[in-house]
Amino acid sequence: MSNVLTVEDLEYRCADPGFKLGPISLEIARGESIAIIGENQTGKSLLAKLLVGAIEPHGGRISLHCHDGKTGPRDQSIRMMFQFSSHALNPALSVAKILEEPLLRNTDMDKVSREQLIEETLLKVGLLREHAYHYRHMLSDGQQQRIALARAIILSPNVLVADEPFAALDPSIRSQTVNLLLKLQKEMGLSFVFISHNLGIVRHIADKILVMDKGQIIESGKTDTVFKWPQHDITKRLIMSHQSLVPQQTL
Amino acid sequence: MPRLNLYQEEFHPSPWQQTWLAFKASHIALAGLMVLASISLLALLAPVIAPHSPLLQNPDVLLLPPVWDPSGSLTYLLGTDALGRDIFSRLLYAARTTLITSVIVVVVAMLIGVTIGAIAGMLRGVSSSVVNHLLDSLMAIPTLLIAIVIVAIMGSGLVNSMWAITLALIPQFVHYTRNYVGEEMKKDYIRASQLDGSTKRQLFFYSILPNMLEMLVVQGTLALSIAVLDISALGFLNLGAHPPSVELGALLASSIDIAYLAPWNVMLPGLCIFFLVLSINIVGDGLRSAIRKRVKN
Repeated sequence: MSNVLTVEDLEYRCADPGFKLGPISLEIARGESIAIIGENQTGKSLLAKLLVGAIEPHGGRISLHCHDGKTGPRDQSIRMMFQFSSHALNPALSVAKILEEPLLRNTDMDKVSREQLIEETLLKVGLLREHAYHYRHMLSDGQQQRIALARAIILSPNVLVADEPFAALDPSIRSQTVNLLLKLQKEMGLSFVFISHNLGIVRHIADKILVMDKGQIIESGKTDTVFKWPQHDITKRLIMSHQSLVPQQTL
Repeated sequence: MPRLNLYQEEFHPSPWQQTWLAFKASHIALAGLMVLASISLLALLAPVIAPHSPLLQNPDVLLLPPVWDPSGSLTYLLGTDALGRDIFSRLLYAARTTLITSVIVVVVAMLIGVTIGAIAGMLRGVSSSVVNHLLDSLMAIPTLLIAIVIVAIMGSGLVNSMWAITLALIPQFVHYTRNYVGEEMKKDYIRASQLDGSTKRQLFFYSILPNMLEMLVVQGTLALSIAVLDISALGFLNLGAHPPSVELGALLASSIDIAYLAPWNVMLPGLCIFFLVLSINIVGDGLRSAIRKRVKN
C-alpha cells in the first residue's frame, strides 16, 4: 500500500494561549480508514480542517500523493464532509447547482458532461436524479448527508475527511451511511479519515485509530490493538466507557 | 438530463415560489400589490391614457370641479387647476415622473450600496469597521435632510435631487449588505465553497447573492417608499422638479395657494402620494413576513 497523504510536524497555535495543536505527524495509506477519537475540545475538528486546508497551519508540511506519486492539486484529491451537512449546503441553490460548483471550479468539463457526472454521483450515493431539482429544505437529514457525501466524492478524491459524519443521524440512517461509505471506499479506493464519538462504528470500520488529547496524538495503532490493549489513561477511559454500554458477549 | 416526473402529485416549490405562496396567503399584502400594480400601470401608460396634454391651458374652464360635483364636466374628469389644465392628465404624468425617478434612484443606490457593502463584508479588520462606523453614523441622519443639504450644494432641479436622494440612500444598502455578507461568510456552506476553490468574487456571486436577493427585494421596496416621499418632498419644497415638468410634490406645492378655493387641487395629488407610499410599504411588509415565514420552515 502506498501513502496518499503524509503529514510532518503539523502545528497550529490558537489565539487562546493555553491550546496548541501538534506537532503532529501521520501517514495515510491508500484505501485505509482512520478514526480520530478523543474527548471534546482536544483539537480533532481543528486537525480535520488543517488536513483539508480550510485553515492554514503555522508550521509543518502536508503532502498529498496522487496515483503517479506526484503531489497533486489539493482541491481535487482531498475533500471534506462537514459536521452538520445541512449547514454546508447553500439554501438558495438547487442540489444540481451545489454539486456543479466543485466541477465548475476544478474541471474544464462542458455542461452536458457535468450534468451526466452529477446524475451518476447522485445515483452512486443512493439518491435519484430528480433530487437534482430539490432544494435543501425539501430534503431529510439522511438525504442531506448523502448530498454532502456526493459533493465530497464528485471530484473522485483520494482522501475523504469527515467531521462526525454519523453524529446527528438516527440508527437506521446511520448504518445506511456507514454501509454506503464502506461501499464507496471499496469502489473508489478512497482513504477515509473520520472523527467520531461512536466507538462501535469506529471499531466496525476503522483500520487505524488516533487518540487525541490537548492537541496531541497520544496513542495510535491498529483498531484491534488499541481496543484490546489501550496504553494511555485517556484511551483506557474512553474504551472502558464504551464497553460498559455494550453487552459483554458481543465484544 | 431529461426531467422525469416520478412524483406526479408532489409539488416542490423553489425558495422564490415559496415566498410568493406565503405572500399570496396574506390578503392585505395582495391588495397592496394590486393597488401598487394599478398605480404603476396607470402612471407608465400616462401618454396613452391621458385625455389632455398636462401643459395645455384652457382659459375657458378655470378651477372646474371634478366630475362628481354638480358643476363638473366629463371632459375634465378630475377638474382643472387655476390655469385650466386637466388635473387627471397632470396627475398621471406626475405619478409617472415620481415613480420612474424613484425606481432609477433606488436601483442606482442599490447597485452602488451593494457593491461597497459586499466588499466591506468580505474584508476583515480595520478597513471594514471604519466603513461600518462611518456609514452607521450617516444612517442616523434622515435621508431627506442629507438630500436637502446635497441639493443646497449642487443646486435645485430634478436630476440634482435624484443624485441627492441616491447618495442619501446608499448608506442603508451598504449597512444591510455588509451585515448580511459578514454573517453569511461565517457559515459552513461558504467554507465548503471555499474548499471547492472559489475566489471571493465567485463566492459572492455564486453562493451569497442567491441568498441575498430576497433581502434586497425587501430593502428595495422600503427604499422605494422613502425615495417617493423624498422626491415629492423636494418637489414640494421647490428644490426638485421645476415647473414645466410635472411631479407629484411640485403639483401639490403649486396648488397650495388655492387650497380653500379648490380643495381637490391639493387633495388629489396628496391622495396619490399617500396611496403610492402606503401600497409600497404594505408590499414591502408583506414580502418581509413572507420571507420570515419561509425561513422559519
